[in-house]
Amino acid sequence: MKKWILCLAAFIVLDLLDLWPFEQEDTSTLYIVETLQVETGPETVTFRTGGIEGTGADPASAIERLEDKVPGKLFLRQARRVIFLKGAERYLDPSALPDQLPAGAYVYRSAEEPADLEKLEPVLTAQEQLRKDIPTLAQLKNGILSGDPVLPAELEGEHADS
Amino acid sequence: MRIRSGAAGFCVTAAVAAMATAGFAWPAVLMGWGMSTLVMLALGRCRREPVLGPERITLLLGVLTMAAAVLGAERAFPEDSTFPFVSLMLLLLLWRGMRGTERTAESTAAILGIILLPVLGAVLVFGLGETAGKWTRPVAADWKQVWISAAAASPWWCLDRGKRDVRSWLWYGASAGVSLGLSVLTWGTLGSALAQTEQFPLYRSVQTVRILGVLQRMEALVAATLLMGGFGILLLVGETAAQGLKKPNKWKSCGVLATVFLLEWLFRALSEQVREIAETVFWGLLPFFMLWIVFLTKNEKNS
Repeated sequence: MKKWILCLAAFIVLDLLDLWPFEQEDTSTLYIVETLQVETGPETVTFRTGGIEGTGADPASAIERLEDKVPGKLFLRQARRVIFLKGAERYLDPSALPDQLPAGAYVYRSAEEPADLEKLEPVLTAQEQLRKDIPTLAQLKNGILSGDPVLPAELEGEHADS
Repeated sequence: MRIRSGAAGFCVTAAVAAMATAGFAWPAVLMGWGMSTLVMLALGRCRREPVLGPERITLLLGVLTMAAAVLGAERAFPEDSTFPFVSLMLLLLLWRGMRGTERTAESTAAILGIILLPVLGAVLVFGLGETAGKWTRPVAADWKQVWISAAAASPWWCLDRGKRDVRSWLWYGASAGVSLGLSVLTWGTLGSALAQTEQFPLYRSVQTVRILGVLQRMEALVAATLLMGGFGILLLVGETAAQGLKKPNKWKSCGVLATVFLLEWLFRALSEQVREIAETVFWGLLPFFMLWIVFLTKNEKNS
């Protein structure tokens, strides 16, 4: 009994001192990102999802801005895809993207921002289940490291305009 | 270290594979395990309990190996800063474990090994389907990786294989298969360049696993593997290190574990270059330590 009381006391102390290493999140507060759009400007990086955007001088500060703006906690670990807009893939090293993005997320490029992302997402999801040639973030990073760059898949015209 | 059960041996080597060799080129892992198999065949059977040699050396190497295992287990949560929480929890559990009997440590490690087999099997079954053929072609093996892979397999050299030959060889085969499979998985999903530069290649690799075209989150399985495997190693090595203590009691065990924790903390404070040297020395020594145990055991047998 004494041991259990000691364990409980240790747990309370850890919690009070904020030494508990694991973050606990109420899943209902998570803002789950399915598609992350990336755009680069002169000395700026912008991340956009669901009509909300965060701009900063580098990817880390841009993601911080995005975190501040989204309702709830930004959750990138479930992201299905990343879309590089307006040639951003040429200027942004993919290894600078947030670490929370899964290595298996698909990567696309598009000259213009998709007009209606909500309509586009189910189409892309269906395509991704059929096609095997869409590069992933891991392939993009490996391509840069091995000196054999891989280009993101191009969003076709009707998709980009949808 | 006395491992009579093949499952306990699997627990140790599968954990080392997940912690250390998963990011290696698969030909290097294959050559390492091939070398290890040749050494095992050359050494022959160890039918009796391994002799450990001088107590101080046993204790020193035990403490070093425990620190390495704790460091490896901390890799279970690469996206959270879990140090010192995970280390302290594992060492507290080990403190209890070191007070058990020799059989307790081995039985627990064997149970962990039996749990790890389907867990790693699931990771491999679903993950290997995602590998790209062009990234799994054979490449020239790096000799350092070959050596570390052989060192990872070396605990099997002193396995007490008395009457359970076939079963222990099957577990040995499973260990080699899992080690090789994990390397194929990381290289095949991440590519050689990324797999070698990633700090946690296996963790990153399972982020690419899809089932029916949908990305799955299998990191929890990898985290479980590292924690359970790390604890299995700690139990077996802890029991060995306890034999290096004269009249072991709970306070002496506590001192050993505090030293392990201090070593881990020191290692984390070291610069990248010094860490690399320390790792090289550790992996360089491990197979010789195992050979030494076999040598002492065989000599005692003959005398």
